[in-house]
Amino acid sequence: MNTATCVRAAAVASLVWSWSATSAVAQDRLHVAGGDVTVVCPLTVGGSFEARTKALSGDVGPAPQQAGAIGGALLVKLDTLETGIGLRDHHMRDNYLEVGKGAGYDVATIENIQVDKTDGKGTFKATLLLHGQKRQVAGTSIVHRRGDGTTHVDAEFPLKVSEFEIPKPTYLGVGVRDEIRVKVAFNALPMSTTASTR
Amino acid sequence: MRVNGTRVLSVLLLSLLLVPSSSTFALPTMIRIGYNNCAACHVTPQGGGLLTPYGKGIDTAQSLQRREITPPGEPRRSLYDVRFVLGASRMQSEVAASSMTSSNVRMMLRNMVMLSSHTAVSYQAGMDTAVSKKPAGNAGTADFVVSKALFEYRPKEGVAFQVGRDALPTGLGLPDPQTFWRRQNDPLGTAYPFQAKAFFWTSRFELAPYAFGPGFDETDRAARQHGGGLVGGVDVWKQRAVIGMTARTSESPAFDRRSVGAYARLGFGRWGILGEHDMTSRAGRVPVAAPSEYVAGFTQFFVAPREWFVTSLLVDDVVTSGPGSKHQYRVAPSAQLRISDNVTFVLSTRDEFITGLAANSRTYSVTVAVKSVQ
Repeated sequence: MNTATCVRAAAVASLVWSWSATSAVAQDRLHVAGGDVTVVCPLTVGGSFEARTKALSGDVGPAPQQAGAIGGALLVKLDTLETGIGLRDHHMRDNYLEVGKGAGYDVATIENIQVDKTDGKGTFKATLLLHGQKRQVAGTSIVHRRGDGTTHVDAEFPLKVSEFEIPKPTYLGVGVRDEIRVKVAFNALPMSTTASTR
Repeated sequence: MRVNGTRVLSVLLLSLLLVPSSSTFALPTMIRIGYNNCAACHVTPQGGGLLTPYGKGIDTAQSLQRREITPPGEPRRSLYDVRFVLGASRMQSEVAASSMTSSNVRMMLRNMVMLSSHTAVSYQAGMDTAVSKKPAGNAGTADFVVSKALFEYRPKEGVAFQVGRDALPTGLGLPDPQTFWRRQNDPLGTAYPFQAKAFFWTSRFELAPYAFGPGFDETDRAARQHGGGLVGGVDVWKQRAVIGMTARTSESPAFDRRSVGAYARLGFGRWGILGEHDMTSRAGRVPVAAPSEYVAGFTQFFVAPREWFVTSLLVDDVVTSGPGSKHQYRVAPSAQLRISDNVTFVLSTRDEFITGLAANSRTYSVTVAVKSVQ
């Protein structure tokens, strides 16, 4: 075996090793393949409206060092939230969420997720970055693993608008109550699957 | 208050022909985006009529020429608007002599004055004029109508007591189907009886008990009724599905009436369904007269392709059994275009079918509503 052959063999072995290592990690991690975020905003005079978006993305997977910890993050583009009334969308995005301020404002980030169950009904805690503020949130989740490798997640948590230093949303005497509810539903695929289909 | 009872009735009947889609002006359709009761946008929890400042803001925001409303520096003690409704229609009947072309103009002042932080008076009054042209000749009416005169006490949010003259509470709060039903099962009665009523509402529940007496514009003294009723509903799904029941009992010198009904308001973003159905029994006080039973129903399927553009298919019917039994129903596709906070157009056709010897008809109509914005 000459030197060139040895180098070639080493390179191939190295590639095979690194691919398999990456693949093992990728099989554990999940890529969000589509989802819905619904923010239920109760009004001070009764009734409520919902702000919705499908602009949910991110990769999540088990964090190696800590049981129940989920690495990665979920990202929600806030300038895509719609409530059914265009003027209200404008007020929500520009006056209250202040998405024009850029990083930390235009995207809400859910990270440091800690779950008590990775299958079935459970509870979770996470850090939510919203309106430039990071706060702990906690709620319920239902994780459903399907036969085709897809994982479906439904999660819901309350948050207080005032805790994120968002100005109190009001319009002509009617306001949104301080506590609103966020519902997140998404399908996630193993990274290896999504990588091969990209 | 009443200029001429017969004329009021004739205007009511004529306006029924002229403005077949008046229901599209009332907006229980707003449940599609989470408004499961009327109190957020209207000055009275029964809905319809004058808007609160917030209601005006939503009204403006949902028009083609939307704009920002500048909030007043301090709450206004008096809210008012002036509203003109101009209608034109062409009714084609199977019996040529019954075909007619009509036009009407309604001018209405709507006003609410806060007497204190808990009490208010509100009224709605105006002129109704109508002209119709038939092969047999022309006819016209002009009447002054007070459709609302109420004193309200609201001790806290979610509780209101009212006394005065108004339409009775219903599950949907739409005037058009109520007028159609009343034409069948209470043709000589009034649309605006004197009443005392209470409203209790939360984000989940709505309840409106009421007692009422004559409106004193009934065309026949024997049609003057007094009685009571209840409207109660519960939100069963995400503030987008309200279902409820109605009940009413009344008596007059000539007859007793009992009604029970159910209603639903369902909204799913861009579309929804409204429905109200009612069974009424009317028994004459003269023993020889056989009782009549009425089953009335109203269903509206609506789609809002744009915020300012709502299309609807309205179906309502009344089945009458007993003396003069018949089945009468109407199908009316319509389109409402809210051009600005001042101007709304409604285009509609309506087919009316009646079993038996009566003639079916089709009506084409255009309605323009113009209102001032305070």
